[in-house]
Amino acid sequence: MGLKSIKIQNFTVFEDEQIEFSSGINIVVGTNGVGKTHLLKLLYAASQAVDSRTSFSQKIVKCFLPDEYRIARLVKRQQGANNASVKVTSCGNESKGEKTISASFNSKTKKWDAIVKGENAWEEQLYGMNSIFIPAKEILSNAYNLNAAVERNNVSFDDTYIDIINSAKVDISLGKNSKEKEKRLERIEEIIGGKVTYDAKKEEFYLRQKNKNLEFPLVAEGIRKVALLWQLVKNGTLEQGSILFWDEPEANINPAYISILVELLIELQRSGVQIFVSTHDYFIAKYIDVRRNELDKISFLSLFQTENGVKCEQGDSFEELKHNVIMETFLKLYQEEVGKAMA
Amino acid sequence: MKDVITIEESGMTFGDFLVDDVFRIERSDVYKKIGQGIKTVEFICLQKNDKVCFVEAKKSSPRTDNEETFDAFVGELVEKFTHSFEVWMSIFVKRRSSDISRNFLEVDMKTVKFKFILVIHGHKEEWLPPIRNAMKRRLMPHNKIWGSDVVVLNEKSARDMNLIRQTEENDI
Repeated sequence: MGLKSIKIQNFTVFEDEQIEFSSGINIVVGTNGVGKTHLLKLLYAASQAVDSRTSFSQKIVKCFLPDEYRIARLVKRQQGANNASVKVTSCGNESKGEKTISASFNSKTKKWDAIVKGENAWEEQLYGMNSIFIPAKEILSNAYNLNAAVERNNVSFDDTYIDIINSAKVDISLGKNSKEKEKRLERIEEIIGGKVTYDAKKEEFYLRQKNKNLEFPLVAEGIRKVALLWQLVKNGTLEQGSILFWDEPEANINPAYISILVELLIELQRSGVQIFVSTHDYFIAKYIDVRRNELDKISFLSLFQTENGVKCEQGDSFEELKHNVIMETFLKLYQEEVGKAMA
Repeated sequence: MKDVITIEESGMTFGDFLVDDVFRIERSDVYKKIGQGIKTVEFICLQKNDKVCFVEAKKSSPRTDNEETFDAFVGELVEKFTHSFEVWMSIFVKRRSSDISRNFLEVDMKTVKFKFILVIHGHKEEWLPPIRNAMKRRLMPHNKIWGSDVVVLNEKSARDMNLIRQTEENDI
């Protein structure tokens, strides 16, 4: 299971691009404004559409929040670009082949009335597949009454925020934890210095350290993000066959913890979780290169702007990417350092 | 026209330097006399803007994840640079005499800048910063006391700094 590829036409910054994915970890890099988060959100919307209660096109709108909830506003804004389409293809398995779900719309489409194809076969094949999107900004500390506030239109958060809170609120884990899961949880506890608890009555998350509960807003933001990962591992959201989307995991995280985070991502991949990470961080990209072994399935995807919209370069290692803004910046800094030292 | 020289080290051609702007410390009288237990760089050269450059060349460097070997590599370099600095300083303050050109004895001690330069043959640019960081950490007291600095280069960046001959054969 999992996602194999996406074809995007005239959608936001993309003009016409097909991107293939690894069934393991996909690291998306690129400068600001090349659509890293857009790519992750599109894939997340497709992953959420495996639930028959969720419509692909509606989920796209709820993840992107265009004005007046009009999917038409997501058509690439350039002359002659009136029709947009997004096609996501699944990996398939031994018994069932690949399936494709697509959404087509144009600059006159109302609300989320895109033409969606392949939704039934998609739901049938991928039924039960978990997927979760961790946004760049930490949100769990704002969990209290957020859903109600959003429903009443008091605040505006896209669905990735609402969904992550709902997933984290699941405070049970089925059966006994496997040894691998225990080990994984212990690794995360090294970073957060405790465990996560959820008070359903108060709708508040706490970090339990040395038998004392610390309110989430009092915990450092970086730690809160990692604590969220603990909760998702603990309650079984992140298990074999699920998909994790993580937008800029490095945000607010102590660089000293990045290696542990990368180790966790690699382990999750080994246990069958497909992962999509967008990053600007040198340490994440390099640690993945350094800590991986030959059997790990890892793909680096570099998005870059061209005259014909955003294109994607794929590489098996971080170093082999030709469009590598992280490495270019790193080397530029070194050149400046040397220039200053030799002045 | 003044005499110039080049220096072949670790598969690279350093130069061209004015003869009077280079001190081959390893071949010097003073080193022959006190050499036992003293480590030196390949050469010392004078550069524009009051710079005294201590230059060491290497064909390769160990991987940074091999901690023991890497630490030993950095430790040896630190010794080479600091010993060479002290040898030169001992000549400058006339504690020792040697066959050094007058140019080296006429630098303005108040404004002169000391540069410890390691050039590694065939190294990718992204492999250089961790080596420089490790050396800077070890040389921090020297850097603070004397205002010295450490630079780690490959052939391309050494050529940009006018340390390696400007010919196509030096291209990586």
